Amino acid sequence: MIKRNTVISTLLSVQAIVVVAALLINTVSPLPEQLLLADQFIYELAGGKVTGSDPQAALTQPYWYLPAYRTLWVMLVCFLVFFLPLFSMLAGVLVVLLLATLLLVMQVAAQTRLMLWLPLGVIIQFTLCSSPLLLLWAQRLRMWRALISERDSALIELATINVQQGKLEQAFERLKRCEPTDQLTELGYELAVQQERRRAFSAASTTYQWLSTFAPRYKDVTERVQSLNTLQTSKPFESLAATHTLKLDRDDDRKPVLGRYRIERELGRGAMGVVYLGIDPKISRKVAIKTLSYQLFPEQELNDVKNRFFREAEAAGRLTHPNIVTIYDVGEEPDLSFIAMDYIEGKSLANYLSVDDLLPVPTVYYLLAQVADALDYAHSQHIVHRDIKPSNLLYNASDNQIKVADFGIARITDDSCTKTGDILGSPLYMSPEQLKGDSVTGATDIYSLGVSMYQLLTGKFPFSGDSIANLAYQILHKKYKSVRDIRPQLPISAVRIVNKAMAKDPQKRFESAAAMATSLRKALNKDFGVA
Amino acid sequence: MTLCVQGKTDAGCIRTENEDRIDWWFFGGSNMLCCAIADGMGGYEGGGLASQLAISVIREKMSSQSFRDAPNIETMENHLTAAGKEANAVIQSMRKAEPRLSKMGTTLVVALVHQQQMCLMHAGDSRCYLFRNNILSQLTRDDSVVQQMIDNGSITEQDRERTPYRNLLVKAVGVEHCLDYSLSNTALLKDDQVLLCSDGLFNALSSEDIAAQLALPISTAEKVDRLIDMSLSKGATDNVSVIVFTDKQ
Repeated sequence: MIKRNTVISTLLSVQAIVVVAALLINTVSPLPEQLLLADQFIYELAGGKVTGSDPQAALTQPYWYLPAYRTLWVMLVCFLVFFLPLFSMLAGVLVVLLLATLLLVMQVAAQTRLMLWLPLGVIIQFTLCSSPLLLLWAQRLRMWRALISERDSALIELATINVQQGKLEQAFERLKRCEPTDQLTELGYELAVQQERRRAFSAASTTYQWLSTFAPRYKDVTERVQSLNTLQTSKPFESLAATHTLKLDRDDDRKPVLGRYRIERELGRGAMGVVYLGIDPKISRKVAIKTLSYQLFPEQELNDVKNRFFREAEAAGRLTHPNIVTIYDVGEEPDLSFIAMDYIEGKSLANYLSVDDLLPVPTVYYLLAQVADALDYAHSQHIVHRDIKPSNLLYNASDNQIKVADFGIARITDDSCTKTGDILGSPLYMSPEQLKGDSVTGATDIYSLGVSMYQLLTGKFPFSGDSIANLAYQILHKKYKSVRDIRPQLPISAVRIVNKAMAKDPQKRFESAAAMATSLRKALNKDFGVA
Repeated sequence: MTLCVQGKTDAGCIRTENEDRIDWWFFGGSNMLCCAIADGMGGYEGGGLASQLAISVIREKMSSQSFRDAPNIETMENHLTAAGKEANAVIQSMRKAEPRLSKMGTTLVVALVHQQQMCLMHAGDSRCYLFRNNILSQLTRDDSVVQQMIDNGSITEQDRERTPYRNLLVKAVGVEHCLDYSLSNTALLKDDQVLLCSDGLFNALSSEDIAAQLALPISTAEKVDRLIDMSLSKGATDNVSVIVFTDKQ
């Protein structure tokens, strides 16, 4: 835009010189004698006699000469300024010569045939002097424009490649230098959409604003500028201390992407960030995408957190078990890392914790036996979950299947130096050894599964406290109410299994998750006659 | 009373940014000394800004106080609390106004000394120690989950470094709308040494290490240097800040 304006203004200034010169010639009186010599020359050329001080005394100058002369000037200047630059060099020269000749012939004819004195010498001289200037300038301008257009094609081509490669900033830098064309508008719009999808909202807003300077009516450019401005000023991070949400759009082509996954909607919020429902477009598979927002971490810790994230995701990715959520992929974007995993239809067991919504006791036994199987498998692979709780147990009631989610996630975040406590949850499901910072083993998961079982059977937490420290004290030193004290109709096996899983001393718990699974299944058979 | 003050802060061995801020100044006709350390948190530029704001507000508020008569403990505490509340409000409003700063906050420990009287105000886990007769005693109690867990007997002092809640504060400046600072006052004796520090120092050095440095017959400036150098040589992972003053009556 800026270059185009410069070109136009330069052109205007050359033409302006011509106009100003014409005005000067018509206002300065008398004109320098040298300029009038042409008329003298033409007079003599036409056979006029030079006698006395006023050679043209024999000729009459008609009353209409002056208005006609002025009109001729106006027409000529308009022609020179607006039409002459449109001709090619050769055509321009010919037209100018023709014009000059025509004027010459007119003056000579008037003098010899009509005995009229119509001096046009100044006008002829002016035409002959100014037209080469304008013609040359127009030619340079055409060359310049051709170069610019060639450069723009190259820039647009490069920018297209940049957009395809995801180098959006680079693409914008290139596009900014181009002259506005339809092609530029189209690509600029595509770029802005990509930026939005990649959550570079401020960059997208800049791009839309740039587009609106030369193509405000293109598609929904103006509306996008406004909607993005609102988004940016609406403090998207404030209400959700730990996370922020991708802006979702109903239009498929505009939906944000994480890696190769198209984001459909938000599923929920975890400790690390938002969880989304995504689609793997290659195989049309639904995936749950867990994001780790870098905003949560001080800059200096970010590298550690990222390393831990990928290490843990890789370890968890090796787990293959019917009761463990499968991890498909991990990836990174400028502001977050993400894990793409199996999307489970159904709800987490956290939805069955209030006294009115409790699952039937045999179902709890049956599901937790499967969870214990999964834990046993993971423990055999030397992976401890560290954060077993009902919200990490995903239950599909239609096929009675349960899957454990988030293996290793707890480890990614719990070493962080954050002081505000956004990441660390409450210690409600933490084992005594976890609270003390002792080494964590499979027994820790068994304890947390015991707490989950307690809650799923009674709808209550075994311990409560008004502060983390108070709760920690209860967990470490106090005895909880037996599950049968809260719900007397529970079988004795419920007390036995919960107590064994929740023993304060890890040594006194089930020796393995498999043992807990066996215990649950035996009780299921004995108490409920379920095989 | 001749007070000799020195202080220093360092980013530590791992961090590139120093989010600690320290400052000390005499006012009221050089009769009063105010020392403050703030340890910011909140990532990005937030941490450094929060601690800077806290210190600036305290300095501005305290310097503008005119104690007409010899101030008593009550007026000293009142002035400190008013300044502390102002600092809390300033950081709170900044947090609300700017999403990027929405998680910032800072610890703060301020010592106000007049003649032999010292008033202490703090929130968070920056500490004040008194070194008297070769004994180092901690005058502040950390506002942290770990401290609460130690206090209620959940864990022992040895578990401090390992518990998952080791970095979690229960109080910090700018985090909550209402903040009750902990206040205390101490009568200083000749040759007492007072040490203000951020957690970077006491996480890297044991109380014995700190006491050993303060016991040395060297200048206050040298003690400060040695405390910082020593914590760095022990691989201080956090920012380290120290202010030491002593009353050479």
